[in-house]
Amino acid sequence: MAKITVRSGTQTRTLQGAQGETLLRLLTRHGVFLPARCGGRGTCKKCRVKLLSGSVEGASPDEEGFILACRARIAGDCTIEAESERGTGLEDFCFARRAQGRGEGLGAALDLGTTTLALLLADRSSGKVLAKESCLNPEAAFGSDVLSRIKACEDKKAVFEQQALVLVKTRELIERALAGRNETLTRLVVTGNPTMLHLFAGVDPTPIGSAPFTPVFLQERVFAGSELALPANEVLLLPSVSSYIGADVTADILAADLCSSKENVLLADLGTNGEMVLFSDGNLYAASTAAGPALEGACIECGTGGVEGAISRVRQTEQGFALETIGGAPPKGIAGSGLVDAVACLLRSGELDETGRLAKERVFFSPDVYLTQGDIRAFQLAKGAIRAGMRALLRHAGLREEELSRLLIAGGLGYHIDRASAATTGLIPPAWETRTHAVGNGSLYGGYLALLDEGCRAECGKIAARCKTLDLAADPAFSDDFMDGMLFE
Amino acid sequence: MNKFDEISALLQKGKARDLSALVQAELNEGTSANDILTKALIPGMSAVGERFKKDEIFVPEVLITARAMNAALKILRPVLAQAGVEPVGTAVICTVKGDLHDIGKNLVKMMIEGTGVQVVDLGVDCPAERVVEAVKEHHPRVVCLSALLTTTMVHQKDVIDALKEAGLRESVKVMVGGAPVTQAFADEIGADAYTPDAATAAEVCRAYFD
Repeated sequence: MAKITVRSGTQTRTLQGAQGETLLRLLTRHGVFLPARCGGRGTCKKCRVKLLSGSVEGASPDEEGFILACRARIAGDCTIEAESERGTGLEDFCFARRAQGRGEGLGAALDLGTTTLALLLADRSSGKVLAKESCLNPEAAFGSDVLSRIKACEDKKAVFEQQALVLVKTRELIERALAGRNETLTRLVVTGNPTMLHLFAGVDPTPIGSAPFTPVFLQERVFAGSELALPANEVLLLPSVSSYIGADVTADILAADLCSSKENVLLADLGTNGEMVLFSDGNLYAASTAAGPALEGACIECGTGGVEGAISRVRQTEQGFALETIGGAPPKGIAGSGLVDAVACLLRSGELDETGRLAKERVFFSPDVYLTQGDIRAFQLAKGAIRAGMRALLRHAGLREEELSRLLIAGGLGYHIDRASAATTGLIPPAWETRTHAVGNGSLYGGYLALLDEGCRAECGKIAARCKTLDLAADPAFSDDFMDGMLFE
Repeated sequence: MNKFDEISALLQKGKARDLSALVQAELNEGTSANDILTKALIPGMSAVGERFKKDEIFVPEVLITARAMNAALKILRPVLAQAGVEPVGTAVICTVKGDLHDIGKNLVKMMIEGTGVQVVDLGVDCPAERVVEAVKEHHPRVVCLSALLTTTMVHQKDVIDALKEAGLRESVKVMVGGAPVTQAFADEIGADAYTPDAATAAEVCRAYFD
């Protein structure tokens, strides 16, 4: 065993590490969460730590002494400096649907986001929200996207390792929310995409990872809290629609009350995956696109999630760029909403042309935060996928763009996004600007509704059964729409 | 501007209809199809590839150019065949089993065709056995394997293994690509080349025919 001294802010801890283990694994096991968006392949370079003394194998320090924690294998005692990423910014909700509290005792809704776990504690009879807690999804040590985490499950141990990580964090969130109240939850309602739900339940998600993409389960599942070592009498996983349209989307649909709408409404949940649902003429259609990583800061050189110091707003002023950051902290990276604003600014100033060509190599927003040509290309890919998904849904329902009444944007990005910037960049059709509304985390809010009201819980089953998933890969027009959607026009 | 430069310029702008018209007009005037291909279209496509590699242009523009190239090739192919001009050679391409992504694969295919190489496209979700059959049937010099998912890139190795088993591995060069693929992975599975983008893929592929 080697002694690894970890400095993080003003704290110093000493961890025992096995020879050959990566620093990333060691740190994750001890609750120091570094972003590892590429799943430890050494390509995203987001898990950098500073090697202060000693040495490691598999990674050599750059000029400033940084090494990649995912590559560095423990070779002996060493000292490193690592900053743990902390999720903040629990969004508020903007949903019309309300529920009568008909349950008993305390309960919680848990949204298993690929990037962030969010928990809401409520009194199940009054409906009162008592606390909200969030943290980063600890499975990130196995990769930032669902596919990397599925891939990790080739080694079956990884199913249970990931399950253990997420259950421990869930327990922590519940305990933090209970804040010393010595109570057991009467119910925990869990939402998330099918892969997250499989891992939470300890079920191997491998079949979701490649065609024909068959999940092991989609239907509602109920566990006794004791089976999962959680302080709850029962744990309820809400039903999913299909492999890539999960209980998070079911909950979104419930929260937005889409099925009682008289109009054509599209809901886009822009998280790590971009899921979209269209309700039109009594039909629910859903599609999912791999759109999100760029909008959550992955594959953007200075990109970051919704953490303190993330630039969430950018405005062009006569004095240059005016920035807003999460928590008002000094800018240390750019979040999805900031990226959309920044791209809009550059388009308006002409520094970015309609093909996505940037006039200079880098545009600086603060001394340390900039966008590169490659970042713009990553944004174009995300935007192309989202627009192509929207078009496919409309086409399937036989609707023209102007026939859409409302666009609801749910998810972390949705709450912060500026709709004028979204329209300028073409992330949404420009004509939809005034029809666009940010609604917040529908997955969590929908879970909260199902927590309070058995009627809402039953409705989730009906929604999941009613919703049809479009197969975008089989849609011959998708490729053209994707190309069109990438351009800034 | 000479006529070849003019054809090349239209190609680089992606003007499929004007390009087709000009190519047809040149053929009518007696310009050799092979000259149009080798002196105008191939250099034009290669210039586009260069700009793509430098990040000056992006996927949509390359695709538009590639489509224009396709339109011009449609006109030239029968004329070339009649004149007894053989294609440079054959490559086989597919997206591997379990993976339905075809945009990147199609782009690589069109860029390779833009170098004068004939491409047999086996489509998406392609099992290793089908690649082996295609190699037996078409005798390609190069096999190109695309995978866009972390979960499916492992099937690139399956194809290489299947080629070995069939005793065909030495007869072809295997190229791999796709978002999650890296040089290290290509080395690990025993591929001959990894290329990070469609333009480089076309270049490397073409070089195998020299």
